[in-house]
Amino acid sequence: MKLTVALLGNPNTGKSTLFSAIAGIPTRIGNYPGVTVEEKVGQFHHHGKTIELIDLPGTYSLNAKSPDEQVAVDVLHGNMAAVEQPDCIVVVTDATNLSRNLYLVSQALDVGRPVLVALTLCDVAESKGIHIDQEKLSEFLGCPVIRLVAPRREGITQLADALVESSDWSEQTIPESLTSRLATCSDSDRPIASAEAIARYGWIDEITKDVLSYSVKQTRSLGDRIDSVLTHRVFGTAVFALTMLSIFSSIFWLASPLMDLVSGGVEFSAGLAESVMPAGILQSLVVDGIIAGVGGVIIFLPQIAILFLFVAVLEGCGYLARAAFLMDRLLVGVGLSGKSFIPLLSSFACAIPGIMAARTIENRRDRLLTILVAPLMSCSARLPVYLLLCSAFVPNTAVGNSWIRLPAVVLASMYLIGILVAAIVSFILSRTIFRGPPQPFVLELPSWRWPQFAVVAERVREAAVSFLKNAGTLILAVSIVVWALGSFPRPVLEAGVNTESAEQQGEALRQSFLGQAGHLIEPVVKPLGWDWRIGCAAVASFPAREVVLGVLGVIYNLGDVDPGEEDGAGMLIRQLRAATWDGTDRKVFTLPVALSIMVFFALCAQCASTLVIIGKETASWFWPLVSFTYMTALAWIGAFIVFQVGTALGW
Amino acid sequence: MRSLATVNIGSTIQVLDISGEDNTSVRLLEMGLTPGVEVTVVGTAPLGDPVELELRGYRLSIRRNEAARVVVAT
Repeated sequence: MKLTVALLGNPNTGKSTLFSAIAGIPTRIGNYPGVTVEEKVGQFHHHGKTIELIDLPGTYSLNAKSPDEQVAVDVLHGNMAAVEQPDCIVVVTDATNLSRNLYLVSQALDVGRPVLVALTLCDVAESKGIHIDQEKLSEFLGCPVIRLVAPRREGITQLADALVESSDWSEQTIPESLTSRLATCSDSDRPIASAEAIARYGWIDEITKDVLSYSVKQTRSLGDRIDSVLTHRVFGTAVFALTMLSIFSSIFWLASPLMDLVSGGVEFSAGLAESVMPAGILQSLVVDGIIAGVGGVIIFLPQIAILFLFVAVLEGCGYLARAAFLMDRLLVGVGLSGKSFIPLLSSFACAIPGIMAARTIENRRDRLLTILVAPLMSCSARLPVYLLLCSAFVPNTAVGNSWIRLPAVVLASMYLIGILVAAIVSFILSRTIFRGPPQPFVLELPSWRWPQFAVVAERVREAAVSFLKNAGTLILAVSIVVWALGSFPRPVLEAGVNTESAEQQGEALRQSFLGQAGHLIEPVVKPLGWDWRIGCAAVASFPAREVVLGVLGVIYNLGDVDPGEEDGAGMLIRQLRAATWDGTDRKVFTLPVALSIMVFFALCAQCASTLVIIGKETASWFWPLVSFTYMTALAWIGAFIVFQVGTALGW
Repeated sequence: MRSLATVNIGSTIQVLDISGEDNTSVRLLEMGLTPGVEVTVVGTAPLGDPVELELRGYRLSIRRNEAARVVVAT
């Protein structure tokens, strides 16, 4: 016989630690139908019973104010499609913070299903001099109270025993002391929800008066001292900057050897495939379509894993909330919140892990806004484009009389443009489409504790698996489609022509659907100062922005140059400098054109993987469509302004 | 009526009421800011907002415009 148990609790109560300790790795992770709230289910066996554990989203109240809380309420009452009503509710209750945690317990008692109170962090509470009379508490609540130290597995067996026994109860009786207080709510002149909250806390205060006792010590705890440094105006900001800097540089530098390993693996497999397969369209599909596509998916894994490792550690020790606290004022002005900071910062390395890290933002509106503006942060894939164009077309002169060089100013401006546009977009969206009743910003600053290894590992694993499973296949599919568009229709070849030659590769691309698309959109890109070849390269870079340089190489008959290598870059720069408009000797690439390309790439959404991940994280194809449309429009407008102004000024 | 937003850092003060009847008011009550409870203003973020509070043995951060709804004893 199967027993369904819901795990309910405030955020930061050690709920995930308990879940890992009791059920191990979740058997199912997904989204609840129609909402982007994560569904996590685990299973274990005890005394011949199969127990299914549903991990509900962390919530402070069952008076739902957010989609997360609504999911918890719906599951508990059996109103969630395809989810059975739980037979029993385990309320994970933080012993160091009993008073506020009992609020949720009091609401769980109302549901009518058997309730079990799992008292977590008991060891921490005792070290703080907080004593809880477990028996008295159980008497007051009218339900079993089990003491747990989850990392040491203390109390896990007792909890499992109690769960099995709970199937004998028919329903939960609500304590008389609580019902009598709630009965007075209707007489209050306050709104019913407020009156109820006050009544419940009145009941809680009555309990804690008898159940809680404190040792005399109550000196300033270590946590308080850490806190006063970390939220200090000067030291706190310094520690924060240092932490963020190390996260940011880790995503860049720690990930790069791993990413090189992935690229090496891709090159090796491609070489292997080329040696065993005859040259032709099938080989091209395997090498340029499938292997390159799979590599293009795996390449994101190191950054995702490293970012989630940091996020999980920061979350586990309580710093994530403090980071949000420190940065809130800066972001609230543009309609975001402090919690948007880490996702946005990570997006400078890559928008994919950044958008995934937005999962830590509970507020749905803030999360969506963050996801929508995150791709505007200049990611590492745009850097080679900026660098190449800067070094080729921006005169290396000093700015005024200073030591600052012009290319450096242009490069920095590209990053600033992204930040500025993101701020404006977010400001406007938060006051128009996303305008709504003010969302309460109540952020608990959890007490300091050591992160749990099992929880951190699970978070990283989950992020990696969900990326591969949900987004990986789609990203692969997109890269194969783009490969096909760039390879068909194939040019008619005269006998004896070497298909491998750079000229032939260029010809093949120019004749393909992609090349034709480049010609087709020439009227659209002409106001940006682009010829059809640049348009074609921009379209072809849809799978990933960095591809644009490679595509330009192929279009200019250089074959597969590697712009990352000095020779490749040098050749490409020479070709670009020499390029002229078809049928004239007017140069294509001038400073305004180079700037217009850079601005376009700073603002455009030419990254299929980002759009796929937006679709997956918002559980809707509407938002990637919105992202693509608004970013492409902004990119075009930005490039247009830069080119026209630059030309008018005679740059 | 004095609001929590005007209380100096380091002072401990008693909550009298929460003004307003919307979700924000209910959420503040649900977080334990109920009439009669003692609150300490621990500090503010470097840019002056939000504020950090201690109540019922835990730390809570709320924005200044929310703190302005918390009516405290004079």
